[in-house]
Amino acid sequence: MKKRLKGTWRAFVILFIVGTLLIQSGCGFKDIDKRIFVLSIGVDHTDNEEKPYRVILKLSVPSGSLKESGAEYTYLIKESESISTAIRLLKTETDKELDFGHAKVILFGEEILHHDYREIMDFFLRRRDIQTVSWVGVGKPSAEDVLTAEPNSEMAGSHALFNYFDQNGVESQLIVTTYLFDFRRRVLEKGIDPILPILIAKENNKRIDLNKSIVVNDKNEVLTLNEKQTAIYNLLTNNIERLDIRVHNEDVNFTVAIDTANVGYQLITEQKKKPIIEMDVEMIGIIQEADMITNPEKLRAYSNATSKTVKKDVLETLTQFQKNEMDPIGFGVRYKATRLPNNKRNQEWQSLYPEVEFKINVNATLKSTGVIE
Amino acid sequence: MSRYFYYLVFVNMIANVVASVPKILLLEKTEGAILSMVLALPLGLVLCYIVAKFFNRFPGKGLPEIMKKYLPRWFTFPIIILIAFGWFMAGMITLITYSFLLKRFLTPDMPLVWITAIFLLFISYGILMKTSSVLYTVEFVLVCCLPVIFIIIIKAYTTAEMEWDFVKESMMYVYRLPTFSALAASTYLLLGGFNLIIFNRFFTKRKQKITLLQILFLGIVAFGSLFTTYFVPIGLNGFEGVETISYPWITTSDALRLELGIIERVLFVFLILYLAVSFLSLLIHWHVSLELFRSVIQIKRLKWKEKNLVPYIIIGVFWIISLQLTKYLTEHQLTIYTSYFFDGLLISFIAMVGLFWFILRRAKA
Repeated sequence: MKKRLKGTWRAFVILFIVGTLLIQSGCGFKDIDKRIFVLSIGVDHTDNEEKPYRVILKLSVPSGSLKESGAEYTYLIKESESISTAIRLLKTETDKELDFGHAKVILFGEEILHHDYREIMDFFLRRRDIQTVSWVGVGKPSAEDVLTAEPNSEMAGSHALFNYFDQNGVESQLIVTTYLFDFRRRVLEKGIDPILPILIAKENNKRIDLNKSIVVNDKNEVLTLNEKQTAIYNLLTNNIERLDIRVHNEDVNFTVAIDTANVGYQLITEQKKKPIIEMDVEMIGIIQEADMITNPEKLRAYSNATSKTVKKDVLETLTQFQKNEMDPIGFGVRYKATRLPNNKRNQEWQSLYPEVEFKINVNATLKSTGVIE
Repeated sequence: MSRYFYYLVFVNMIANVVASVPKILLLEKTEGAILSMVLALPLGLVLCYIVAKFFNRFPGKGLPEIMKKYLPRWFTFPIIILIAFGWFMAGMITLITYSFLLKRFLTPDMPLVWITAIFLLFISYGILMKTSSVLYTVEFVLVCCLPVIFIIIIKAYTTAEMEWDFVKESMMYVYRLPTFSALAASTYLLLGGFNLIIFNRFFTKRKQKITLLQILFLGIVAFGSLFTTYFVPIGLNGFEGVETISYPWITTSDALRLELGIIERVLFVFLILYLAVSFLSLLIHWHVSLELFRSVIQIKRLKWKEKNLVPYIIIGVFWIISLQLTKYLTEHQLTIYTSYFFDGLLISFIAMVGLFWFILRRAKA
């Protein structure tokens, strides 16, 4: 009898504990049909002093089945003094809870970069639900145009912008991908400058172009990189291994497909001498296209021509960076990383960088002329 | 030593990656954090070796039994209470840190006190278990979690975004003199072996002696975990950017992306894993604390249906203090007080070595 009483007592205690878990209202769990997912966030700068930010949210419209739905999106747009106020106001414009957990693309209008973009960056980082692995980019003519663009190739259930950046879809030498955390560390660190891809909406917002990029330095100055410079940037930072290079040789013009590339550099500073950056570029590839019959015996000559072309391109790009006091590759960090700190390495580097001389060794090896000679 | 000894050490190493240790170290990044870690490694290993060696001499006995046998009662009582309180604080830090983390990242709409209370509910059951059951729990959970943690760490080292130039930049500060708080925080990673003061009751076999080879193995693991704790957040968040982050490792894990994994955002996997490991750490610390309190506070009359109520009363006190502190502390205060706690802990552990030596002398006499 006593034993049975003990059993009931124990059951009662357990029931009580489970019961208290039920009455706690805390979790605030909302079902998936009460949520609407934000796919990408855009921020444009308006010229209005009082409401400088124009926030655009791209939302995916939930639908019953995959077959009948096209790609359907809806947009929420609000101008406000800060992003969080805008979002608070936008919340009242939908009947569902805005969920930022799947927001993977953040776009800024170019004008934002000329103003205090640090404050905006702060918002995205401080919020816990926005991933720091979301991609950051610059929209042209405005972030709104790019976000509202709906490319024809976009399928139901997939967001074209995600495919651009995610290296599972397109893979291209011309696309720079910058994660939010990467953007942050480049902004905060002196000696490496943030670089962002530029997305251009074209043809009545039916197409998005993504082959240029933009560098911002500490003084909020920007430098736009064209296709070639973007490719060179990607090559120099070892972001890509495959790239195409057009080579103009005296007798034959050809395009080379590089499949392995490796770049390393050294910083040499000696007293009373010009600082030198010595860069080694190793490339292996094949000929992909030529305007006449190629001679396999002359592969070495073709390789040399390739090396020369790449060397010229790299030098041009680096000088361009240097002239504009931009440092997206992070020479400044390398400078600090190879010298003992003395609390003024940053200033030292700033005075050294304009004087740096680039020595570039390119070693391109062409292995084959492709399927035909 | 038996494998359970390693579990005790490993839990301390792993659990503190998310807690305050990296934050304290990164605060000292331009002030000799690296040299402190280098010093902490031999210091921690020596302490670990001493404690293991000491308890090897008394198989199957915890510190309270040994002290009662060889030392006077007026001396034993305050010392044990003090040690028990230290272990209680260690567990408390894990508890509050993790409650804050959960509130921030997993269940933002849930009241903080509720999170702590649910934690406490399970912990209360856990620490009342037998010592051997606690160790079995630890083994099971660790075996489940360690492989995944290992994969995440490998991922962190091999991701393309890991910028070694930042790591090298931080390494340039290697010549700065070590600071005490950084030294104490990094030594704490290695002090898991001290849980033997209670868990030695489980190690009854005489043969299981600690060897130098085993210490070397612990040293390699400790080196790896210290290196990872400190340098991976720098490599992923930038040398100058890392100091303004509240939870360095949480932000670091969010910078990882398993493109084709089941869950793309590593942060959530990481949080759940560390929830498990922190739970273990809390379980171990509070089990030790409870057993220590129990060994000195014995009120025979306090009985209800032939069950002594003392442990339940102690747990009640644990609850009250934890809930009050959770309500009172802010994140910043927590980091600062944790740092103070580590400082005090290092000193008192060195004092504890003195105590061991004293007991050994008495035992020989």
